[in-house]
Amino acid sequence: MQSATIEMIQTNACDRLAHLDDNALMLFARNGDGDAYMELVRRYKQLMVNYVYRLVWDYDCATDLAQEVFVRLFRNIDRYDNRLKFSTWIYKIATNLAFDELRRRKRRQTQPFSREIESLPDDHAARHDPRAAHRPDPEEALLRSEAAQAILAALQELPAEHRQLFVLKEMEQLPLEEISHITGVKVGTLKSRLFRSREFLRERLTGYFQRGQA
Amino acid sequence: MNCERYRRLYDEYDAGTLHPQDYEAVRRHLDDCLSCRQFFQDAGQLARLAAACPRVAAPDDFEDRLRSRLGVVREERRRPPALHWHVGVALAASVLLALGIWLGTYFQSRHPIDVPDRRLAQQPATIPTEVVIPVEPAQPAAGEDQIRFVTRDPATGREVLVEMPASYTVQDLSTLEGPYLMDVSH
Repeated sequence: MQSATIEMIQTNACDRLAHLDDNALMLFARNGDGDAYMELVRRYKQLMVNYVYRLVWDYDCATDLAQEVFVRLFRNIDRYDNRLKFSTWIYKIATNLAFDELRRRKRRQTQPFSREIESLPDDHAARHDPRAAHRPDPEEALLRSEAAQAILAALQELPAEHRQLFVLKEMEQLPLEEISHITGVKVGTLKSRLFRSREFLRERLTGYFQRGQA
Repeated sequence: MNCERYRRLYDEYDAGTLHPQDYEAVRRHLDDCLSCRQFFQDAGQLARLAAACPRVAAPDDFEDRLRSRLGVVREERRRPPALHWHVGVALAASVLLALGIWLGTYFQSRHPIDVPDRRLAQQPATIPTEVVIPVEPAQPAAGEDQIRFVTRDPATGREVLVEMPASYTVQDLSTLEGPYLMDVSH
């Protein structure tokens, strides 16, 4: 009876918050509404894990960094400027964390990303880790289609700054202005870098394009 | 515009946010340029393929783990701000440094440091130009281009022998260096 009541209260809280936009939720969260903050987490957790994963190519690292994104957001909740879009702010934090990680790796000179990707599906730890069910399955996450695999492989060859822009534009499907706010790169430079990334990827993926009646 | 400049406009062309005149210019160029038409077509396919790439899912316990981490942050916020160790070390170092400077100044004022003669000879001259009054005549000997005279160093109160080129003026005394200056007080 009691658990049913709690469940009902939680459902009502979710309903109440589901209609609010991100900025309104942040304002509630800033005033101490924990449910509002968790609603934001629910909205953005998949996006963050995916986005960071596309930059660092390591699932465990991506989930840890995505957690860190929400922790940082929470720590700096009082500094939130609601003139900025919430998504811009959260992607900016995620970008900074991912690039810090890439810089750390570069200093440590770890194995190349492609090796990490290859080792991911049959990772010994995956069989013992309760989170294993959510790791990108080799067939589902990487080998579901030959073209997807080829794109992911080609993306890894792009310099991190170019890859980040391509991921934000084509995978996260954000407009140029928002990408500019997230990355601090001017729109003109963005267009040039995206152009170069597309030229590079076209060259690598020539065989996967259906050349119709041009 | 050359082909590259048209290709840079792909995103705005695709999103329909180009100025109508530019949009028309791009469209006309695409009618005439097979290579750019191919680029725009490939870019469109690339976008569709990228958007269709499999996405990874956040683990089930993502929110639970986060809740416990946020609990720690809340707890930290409730506690009075703790002094970070590096701030403490910096403060302690500053206090020690200030104490050292104060002690040094205090003891130096009570017991002025007696500079050994050998070291004095290597020090730059400390003789202020306005008090240089040669005690002994300072005329260069015939055939010599050096003058020698004895004077008193007002800083130490000792008599010093000054050797310097005859062409120097009194103001040049302040630039004299060690070899010119010898303690003759003993």
